[in-house]
Amino acid sequence: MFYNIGLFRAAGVDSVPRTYSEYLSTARVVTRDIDGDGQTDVWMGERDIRPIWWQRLFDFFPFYLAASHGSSLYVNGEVALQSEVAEKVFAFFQECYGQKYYPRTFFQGADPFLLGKKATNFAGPWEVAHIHKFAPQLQFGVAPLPVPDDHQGPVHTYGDYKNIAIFSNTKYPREAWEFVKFLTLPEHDLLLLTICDQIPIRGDLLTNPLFKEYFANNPSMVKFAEETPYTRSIDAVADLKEILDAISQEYERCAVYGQITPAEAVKDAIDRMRLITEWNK
Amino acid sequence: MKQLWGMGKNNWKGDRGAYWLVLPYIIFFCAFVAYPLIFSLVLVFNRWNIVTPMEWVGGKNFIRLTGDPLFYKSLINTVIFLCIHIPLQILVALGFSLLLHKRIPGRGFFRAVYFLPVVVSGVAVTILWQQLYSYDYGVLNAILRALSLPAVPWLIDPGVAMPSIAIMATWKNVGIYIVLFLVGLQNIPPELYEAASIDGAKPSQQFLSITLPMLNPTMLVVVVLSTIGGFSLFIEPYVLTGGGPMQSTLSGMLYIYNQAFYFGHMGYAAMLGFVYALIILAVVLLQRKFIEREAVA
Repeated sequence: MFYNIGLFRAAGVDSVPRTYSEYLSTARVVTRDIDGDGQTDVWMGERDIRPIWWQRLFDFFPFYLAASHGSSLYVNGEVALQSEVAEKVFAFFQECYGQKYYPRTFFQGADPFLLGKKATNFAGPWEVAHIHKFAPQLQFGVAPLPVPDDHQGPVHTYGDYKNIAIFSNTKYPREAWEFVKFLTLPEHDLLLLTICDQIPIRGDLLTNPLFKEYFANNPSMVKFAEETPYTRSIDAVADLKEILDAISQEYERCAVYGQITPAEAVKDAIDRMRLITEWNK
Repeated sequence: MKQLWGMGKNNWKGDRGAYWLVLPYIIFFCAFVAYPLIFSLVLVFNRWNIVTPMEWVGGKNFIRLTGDPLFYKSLINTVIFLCIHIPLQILVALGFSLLLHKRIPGRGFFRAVYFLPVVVSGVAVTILWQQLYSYDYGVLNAILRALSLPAVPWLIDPGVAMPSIAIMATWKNVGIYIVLFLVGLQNIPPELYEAASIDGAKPSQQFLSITLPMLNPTMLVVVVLSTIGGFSLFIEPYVLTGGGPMQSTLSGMLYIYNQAFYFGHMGYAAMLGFVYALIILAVVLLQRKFIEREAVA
């Protein structure tokens, strides 16, 4: 979670929200109509509300991972969405939209976080370079995602993994393996960091002297490196997009428009996930 | 028969050059019409995600379609869109064409201006309207608020989103229909109006008794083209709303696209496509029958 330090300070907020309650109480003071024209000028957050499957990788799914200690949506091909956790996430976003801390507006062609129109943003490490390039004056911090108030233990998050696979029927498995080892050498992972500002999934990011200079020059990236052990990818299941699309539609009905309760939405989502899995078997 | 078709032995030889001339179109037709049509018919009975080999599923895609609530939802949405879009399109196009048919200053300029949105990219137009329709920062709501009127949830209310898209689609396409109506108006013999004037008919009576009946063939073309265009509704909901809020703008074409290119269900998408094609055919035939009957009456 990126947050705008200036907007937090202007609202008298000194600490970064760690839980849903803290986030919502921060939102209460940060979301403001500054010029008194009846229009909100600063929102606590904003998300693309269109029911498009991949948009849920920026709100529902990372929050579900954070609240569920990195649990999967599926286990052994069966739906394993934890109702209680998913309901908490839906209820959290329902509150954000219901209390008008988030607008039901789609910003086209402008990043409201860079414009100082929203105080928090859920994004990956690429956002750091993006901010430095397009809003170099913006003072920002990076923190783990908010979690339910009763959450214990580490906070997991979502990472858009780019995995490497060697086909079992390849004629050259040994050569392929050598190539993979070459690709993931520490020197090459350093290139991934310096050129792309993307985090390689490895255990020695903060201990290997090779990466020391990069993180010294890019302190904002340290938070992402610290999250590496708690980063999870999306489930590698068939029909993933259709499943996320179904979740997206329930999320929209419940969280964005408040038409159904979180319990109803999660039940419907699970039913639809099972139906999709069954249909496509 | 030989004479009729020009297929006699000698004629075939004599006309060989003509067949060479139509060959490019035949190749185009086979590659881009016949082959995709036959291939999609094969897909209807298969499961295929482009990457893995096809798998025969028989009638499973049809069974899925009959029990798919989103198919019915997309069909209802498309019908709602058509019910708003077609009358609006006809009213606006007919109104502007009647104005442009008169000898008014700058007529050529206005004709060009009204046609301009037709030639502009659909995505560009849609992004422009997104700025107009934005609830919090949109131009339209800024005007309403300045007039102390309540803001309209153009794209975020399930009951308003589809009419908003219909207004936008009308604005985008009205130029074509203005041209069609203008052609229709120019083909009405002026003697009819002269005779009506001599008989004492008022302008409104002339409009109802001469203009409208004489525009019936044009009306049929406009209705049929609007219907086919309406069933093809895709760019507007794809860019503006993604099918939301709450699937209220999920059009048939958007649903087919999602199934084919998001979810990789080529077979099911082909089934949806065929069913939609049959529905369009049935609706157009009904419209044609109705309008032709009205014309005869």
